[in-house]
Amino acid sequence: MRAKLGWFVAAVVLLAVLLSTRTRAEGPTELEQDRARLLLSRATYGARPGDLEALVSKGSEAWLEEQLHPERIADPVVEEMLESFDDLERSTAELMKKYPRPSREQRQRMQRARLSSPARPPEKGPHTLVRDLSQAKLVRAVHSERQLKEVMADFWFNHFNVYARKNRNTLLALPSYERDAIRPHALGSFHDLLLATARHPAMLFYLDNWLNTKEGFDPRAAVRAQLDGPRRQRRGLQRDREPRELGINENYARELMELHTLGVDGGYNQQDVIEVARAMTGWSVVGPQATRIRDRIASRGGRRRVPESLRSIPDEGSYFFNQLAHDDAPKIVLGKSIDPTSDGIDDGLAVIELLSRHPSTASFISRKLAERFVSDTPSAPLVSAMSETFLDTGGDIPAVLRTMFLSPRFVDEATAPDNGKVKTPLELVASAARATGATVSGPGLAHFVGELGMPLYLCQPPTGYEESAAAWLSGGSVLMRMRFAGAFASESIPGVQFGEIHETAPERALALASPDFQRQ
Amino acid sequence: MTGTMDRRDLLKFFGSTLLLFGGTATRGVARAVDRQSVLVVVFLRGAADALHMVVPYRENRYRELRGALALEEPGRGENPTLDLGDGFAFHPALSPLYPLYTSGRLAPIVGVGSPDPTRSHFDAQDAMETGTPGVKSTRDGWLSRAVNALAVEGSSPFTAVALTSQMPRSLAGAHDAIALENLSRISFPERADELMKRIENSYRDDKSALFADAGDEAFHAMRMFRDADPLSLPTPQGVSYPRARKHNPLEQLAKLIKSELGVRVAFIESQGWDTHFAQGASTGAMANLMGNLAGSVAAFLEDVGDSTPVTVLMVTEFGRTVAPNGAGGTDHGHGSAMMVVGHGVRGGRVHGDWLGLEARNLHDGRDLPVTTDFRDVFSEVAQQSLALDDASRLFPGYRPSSVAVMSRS
Repeated sequence: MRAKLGWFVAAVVLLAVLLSTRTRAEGPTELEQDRARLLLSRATYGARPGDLEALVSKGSEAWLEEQLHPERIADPVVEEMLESFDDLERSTAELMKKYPRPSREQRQRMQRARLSSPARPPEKGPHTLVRDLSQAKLVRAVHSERQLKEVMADFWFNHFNVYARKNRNTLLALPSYERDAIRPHALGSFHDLLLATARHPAMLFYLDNWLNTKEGFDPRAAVRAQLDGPRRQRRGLQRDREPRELGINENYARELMELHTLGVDGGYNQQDVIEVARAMTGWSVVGPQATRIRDRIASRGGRRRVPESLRSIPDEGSYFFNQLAHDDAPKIVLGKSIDPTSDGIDDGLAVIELLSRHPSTASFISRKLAERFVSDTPSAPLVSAMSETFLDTGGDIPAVLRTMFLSPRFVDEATAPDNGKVKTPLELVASAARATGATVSGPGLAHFVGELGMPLYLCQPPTGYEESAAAWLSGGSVLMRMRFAGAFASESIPGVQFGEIHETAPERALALASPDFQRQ
Repeated sequence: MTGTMDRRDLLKFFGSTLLLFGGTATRGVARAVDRQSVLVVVFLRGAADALHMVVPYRENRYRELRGALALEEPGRGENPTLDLGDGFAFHPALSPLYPLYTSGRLAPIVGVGSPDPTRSHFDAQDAMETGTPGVKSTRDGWLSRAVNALAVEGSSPFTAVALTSQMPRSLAGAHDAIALENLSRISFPERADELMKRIENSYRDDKSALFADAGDEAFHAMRMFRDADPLSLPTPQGVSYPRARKHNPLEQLAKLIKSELGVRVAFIESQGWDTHFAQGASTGAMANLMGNLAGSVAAFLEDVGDSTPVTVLMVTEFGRTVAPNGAGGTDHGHGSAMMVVGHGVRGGRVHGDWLGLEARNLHDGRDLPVTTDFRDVFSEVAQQSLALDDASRLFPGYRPSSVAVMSRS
């Protein structure tokens, strides 16, 4: 009897926590209370028991300032939990060594196995990277004290989306992409973030810029010319089956403007796409052949005069600027002429600079941030205030976030009736774990994010996942969310450990499946 | 009340469903659904070798170019190919589909493909599933645009079904689309009814129309599924599906269709067609894949029978090299072939423009050229099999030409 009453009280307390964004505060600090609640629901992966009280006593502004400086927040729990994810610490070159392309015989064996049981392809090689990345994302989302940084790292990864299964190279470059290109700049300068993604092999593979060269460029002929015809290299190079001439590939240039910076209505045209593509020619990735040639040259010592450009080729899988593939002719982008210079890489750098500080970019990025954190339909004044900050600060991400979160419009618009945001599957499962004080150590929770329609690191199109409520709430998703609530409440998701449990599983399932818990 | 359910009940209930729905909620779902036509798209992932399916045995250079992969003429050898006329023949493994061809219900189309020259599986599948080659940022799939072009009035939550673990790109953005890998995992024990009722009420009472509609749709779909109970339908005597996989998705789809749940569009995928090694000639790896495909499609059509007009479209992202590589397989090529079978198909002949295997006619001197844009085929098949009033929006920025593979009937 007493136990039953205890469960009931605990269930009510839990429901109160889960539903806390719905209750209205009273008294003079109402705005502050609302802001605190909203900050927890929007700028973090959901409130843990006690978070709201802590935030209120600290004050929203101080809390936000702290979150905007993640380097000042200790995060020992996450650091320890992520210690075992060795591959996520490795460089792309190391991963390429660890997971070499299977030999012809190995691939043959794999194909035979696949054909004999087509339902379950044998998974060999670097497929575990997606599992590790997903699990690490969940660990950070649930357990990190640096919540805003984690939310922003996910936001930017989605903004600069890369699909893990585009091909093997993209997958091998993915841990470095998130670690070296996205995370360091998640709360930094938009320009630096954009540049880091532009020159990262994962992006160069995913959107094909590694194939973007001046018209008629033949990589092998170019290398031959550089080598000044030593016979041994010639023989090695000519073994290849067919001559291959490359040319302009517009894919990256188009998405760079449409999705990463200006937005589709940002005021560029097809000619701009071509000009940007030409400016980005030569932004490429070191292939296995280039490293082989480099090593052969090195092993022979300095007997022959070999150009520095070949000697200094970095490791396979690294970014490098291929001067030979660069289109040196003058370019005009968005009405501005890009001067041809002695070093062709300046063309692309000038384009990144121009795009990162463009007013269309300021407004496109500001709107997207407001859609993520405030409402599916943020007001024009809020977006333009953020956009102004963006331009004034040269794209300082924390400054833009400050303008947004500290604006009275943040609370007004985020609490406007029927303007509520719906949690994405990632936000749903992470917030369930946080609300119930669960510990995430296995891949089960990440797997559920995929079953809910958001497989992590596996969003195919460069648009990334959508943000709007309508994209995430349908009859089907309600059924799946009920299924999640049930599985979570009955503690049947592998790798999720609960602390002390008080309420009954059905009560917990009811709370987690409720419309209110789906709201962000 | 819910206290009568314990953790194990809940586990049984929730842990057992495998449903993935997508798209946006729509209001008003009809309770009764007519027996309307169904379009089934089967995606052969990995790029199926068209020359191994529709064999141009009479071409001068066929034997020379194909080498060890070359197949016998119809009527010759131990495992003869099956004559399609005009110098073409089916691979022997496609024999379950041959009667459908001779009775005029199946049409192969040669030289089909995408104008995008990519040889990347990902890019080519993406282009084919969005239906917008060259435009990668398209969010929705071509099949979802076909679903959305159906009369929305009276649609069922099962209007579009993918028997895949995740919503395929082809159906991204569809109203009323479901992805379920395996029908047999769905079960709703009555003991959970009380809890479900309380969840249902919380959605019904929500002041947001988005939540109220989504809840309405979810619980309606659940009840429809329970009432129809497709799993209880036996597979008819004499219909036999290949047992390469435990659950044949086409067998499950037939049950779903026969249960009259309102299925109009279905998507199925088949993996493993990326035959770079030891592809085999008349027997072997690819023959097994083709045998499984042909057997499943033939059994499916027989299973559904005349009760529902069904059209099956088999597609693949690109073709493979004409010549084998050094490992008895074929590499990524360009033009391929597709097949359409069932209701409304003008079958019994090979469609498409065939340019032969002379080097000057090959794409990059090595691959079959694309002489028919896949959008021409997709558009005509979708429009006529689903009787769409307006198919103009299926392929933005493209005006499909007629390929005369479907009859207007």
